[in-house]
Amino acid sequence: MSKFISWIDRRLPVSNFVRNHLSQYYAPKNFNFFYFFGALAIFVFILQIVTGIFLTINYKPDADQAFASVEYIMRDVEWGWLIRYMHSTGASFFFIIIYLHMFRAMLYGSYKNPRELLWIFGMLIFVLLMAEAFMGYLLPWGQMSYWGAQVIISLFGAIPFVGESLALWIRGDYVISDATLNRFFAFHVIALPLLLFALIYLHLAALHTTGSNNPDGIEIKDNKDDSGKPLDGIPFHPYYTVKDIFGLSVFLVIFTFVVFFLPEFGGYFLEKDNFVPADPLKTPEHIVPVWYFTPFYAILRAIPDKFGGVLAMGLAIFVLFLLPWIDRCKVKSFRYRSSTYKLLLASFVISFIGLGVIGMNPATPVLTWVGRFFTLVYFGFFVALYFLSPSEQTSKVPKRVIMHE
Amino acid sequence: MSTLTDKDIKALQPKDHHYRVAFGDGLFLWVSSSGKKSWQYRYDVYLDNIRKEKIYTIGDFQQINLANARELHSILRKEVLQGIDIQAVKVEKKKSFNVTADQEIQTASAQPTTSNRRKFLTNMTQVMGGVGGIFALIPFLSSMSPSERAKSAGAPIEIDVSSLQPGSYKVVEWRGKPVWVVRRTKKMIDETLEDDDVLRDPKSIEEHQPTYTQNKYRSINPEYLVLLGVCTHLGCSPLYKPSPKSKELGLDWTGGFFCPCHGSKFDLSGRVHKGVPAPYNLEVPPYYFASDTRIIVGEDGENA
Amino acid sequence: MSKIIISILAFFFVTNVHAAGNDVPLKKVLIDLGNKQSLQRGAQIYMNNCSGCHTLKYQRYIKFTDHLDLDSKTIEKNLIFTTDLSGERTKIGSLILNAVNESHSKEAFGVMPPDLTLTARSRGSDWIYTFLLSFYKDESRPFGANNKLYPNVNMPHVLWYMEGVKEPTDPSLTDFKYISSGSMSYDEYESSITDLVNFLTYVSEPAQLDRYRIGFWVILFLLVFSALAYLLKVEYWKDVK
Repeated sequence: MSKFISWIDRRLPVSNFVRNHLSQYYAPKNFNFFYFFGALAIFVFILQIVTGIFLTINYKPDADQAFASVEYIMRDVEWGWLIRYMHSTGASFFFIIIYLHMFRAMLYGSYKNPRELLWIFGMLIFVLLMAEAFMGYLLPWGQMSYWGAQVIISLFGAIPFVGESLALWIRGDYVISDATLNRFFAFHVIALPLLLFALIYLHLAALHTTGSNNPDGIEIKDNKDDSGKPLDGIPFHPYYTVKDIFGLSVFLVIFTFVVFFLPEFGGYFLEKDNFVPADPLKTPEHIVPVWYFTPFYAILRAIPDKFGGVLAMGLAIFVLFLLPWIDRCKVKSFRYRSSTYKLLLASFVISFIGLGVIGMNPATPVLTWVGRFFTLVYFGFFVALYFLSPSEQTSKVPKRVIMHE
Repeated sequence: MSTLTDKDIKALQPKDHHYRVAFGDGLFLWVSSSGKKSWQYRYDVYLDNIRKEKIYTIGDFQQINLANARELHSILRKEVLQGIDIQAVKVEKKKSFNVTADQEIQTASAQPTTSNRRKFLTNMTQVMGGVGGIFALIPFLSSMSPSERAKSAGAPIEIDVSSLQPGSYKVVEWRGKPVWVVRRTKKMIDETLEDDDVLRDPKSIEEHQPTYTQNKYRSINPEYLVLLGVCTHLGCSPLYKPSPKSKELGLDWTGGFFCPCHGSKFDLSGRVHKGVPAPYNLEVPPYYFASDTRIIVGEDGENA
Repeated sequence: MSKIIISILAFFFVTNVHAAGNDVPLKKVLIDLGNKQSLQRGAQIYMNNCSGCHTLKYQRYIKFTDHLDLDSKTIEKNLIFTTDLSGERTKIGSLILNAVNESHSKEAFGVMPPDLTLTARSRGSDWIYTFLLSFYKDESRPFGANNKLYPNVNMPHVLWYMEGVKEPTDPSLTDFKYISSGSMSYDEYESSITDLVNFLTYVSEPAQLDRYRIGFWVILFLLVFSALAYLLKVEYWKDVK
């Protein structure tokens, strides 16, 4: 076996790679619960690709056949129902994981110097993931698929001067039609997965360049032993491979529970209206985007002007890109930051979740006002952070990490 | 690779020039011309793609027997594979006192190599994970087998021959292929060829028909011939030419099927003639008579 | 902190995302997909009364062999009433279609009777159950019947001969009384409708029959594996101080 490995090593640096990125790659030893989500995201990405390939074997991207082909998969293809549910559940779980993954970065300042580029790549992945999910959602060609896409694409139409032409160009037709379905299929199956793959690679490369942050926000590379190994670091393999296997199996328990027992998840993962084939002549009573888009959808609806709403929604995502430069506090982890910051972050979380809930419901007057309030809190977080962070009352950051039980 | 034992090694004689005996994976016994025997571990390092052989002296055979040498060698080899510079470590050790072989092994094992519990748990996890992985693979692989729709389209069909006139034939589609039912006249049945002057496989030895049709009529009931209308050459659909002595097919023609693509000829039992491109008799699908006038094609029925 | 998050999440689970257009409260139906006899009766009621106008165009007859525990001869004799274009009885492997012509039905009913394969998923089993129990006599309607859950529905009350005819006692439709009885008592009718809705719930997702059963074993395996993985993790992490 070792002869074989040597043969490979002389032609492709496999052993070096395993050494540099696994067995001799040092990660902080104090990773907690929030540090599972990066690895889980990679797993779900691979799961979506694999289940996606098997769905593509039987799915027909034609407006007249798409809906029926999904039911064909659910009934006539052996185990087709399971593959479909894994893919639909996987999409929703991907967002749960990503939101928690991003939240970790906000808790521990993982977007700060020198990890700004890591954060940018991550944000780009997030935006691409939203596009990927949006396009994938059109494919079953149900009522919600059709009308959700109709609403979102018409947002592009709101852009002054170029809007209408842009919407026409995206759709490939005057209304959402077979032309739109076909191109969304091509983007969803090939174009975006390739881009996502490239960005995930860059994200991991950037991570391995700087090394991971940790819950105490201490740079472990600042404290090395005589042989150059970080004192607070442990080799990724075997310690984090073994921990991630455990994390993955717990995740799978929850994931498979939903797949086998609650695939519709009360109409949040598979929406009831999507079991009705798309009908351009009949608009559903409530057009809602899928749950993971609702916070941004609520921000869109909070602004009474169509284009203003689009701008606000775009800004809500764009402002996240700028977080490394908005947050000017030198201390990374919220464990050692001011109670003001803790309050701000809590408000941000509450407003994000609140916006999500509002986005799922019809725009009643009460909810619209609450939505506007939460939108202000959302943006207020960034504004307040910018002005308050340079002079924050932080506590003393320890030199070495603290192991919590 | 040497299979010498300690006894053999003890008995090794020095030669004019030093020599070494290989024990596998870089472990060598070095025998000097003066008779001194020591254990060496030889391994390669690569600097800027240039291979350099390194020699690490493990110790004298007087102090270290074969078993110990193997143990020490295996530990050192692991370290080298992990990228540890064993020469540097050795220098450090030399600064302290002389260690015996046993102490060497003990200190080496005390490093985080694998305890029994660890090995057991790792193996169990790998096995269970592997089993889970294989089970997880099943839905994906099965999903590629024929779906309910394919099975339904490939299902047996029923052909009603009550209105079929003697001498004429009927075509029905089954699994995307044409199935012919020919109702042979008494004359056709009587004049069925016996010989093999004309036919390549008159006794239907090649397996292109179910066993219950392996006769000169190639059917269950000689009155009805059931065939797949696909030429065994390259798949064209032959033409039904029942009348003997035709202009195009010659005076020797006794009736049968003619494939226009490359000229293959078959008799009225679908048996292929000699000297034509098609190699085999026309295929007979599985079938049975559900009644005197109803043929089910696609299943063997009770004849199987 | 986590308590706040949990209570917020609990709030949004309670929020009714897709409120029914009509505020008629839905009666709850007891669905028991394990009851094969109920599914068989439901299939029979459906084929006898509904298949004339409604298709189940994503479902195949042949699936009833394992899911409803029926053999193919029984299915062909009792549940298949259509023929193909050549006049041969529709094959058992086919999808459940019918001969309804779109323009004719639009003329007769004003609308094409919708396909019912997925209705139990899009509207819900309770909705179908309530719908079939909510027909009442209304002379102003073309077919003489109206529906409390779905006002001015285009569908006639096909099952009136089973249920009997009921009339509202007051214009607000809060209460009804029967003016003629059908072939069944009210309890029998409710039970038949339960069977029918049971059948339609099965049709909307045949995979339900399998996924609970398989899911149990999958999760059991994963729980055992998680325990093992945990022990492995703890064992290795003894090294880390």
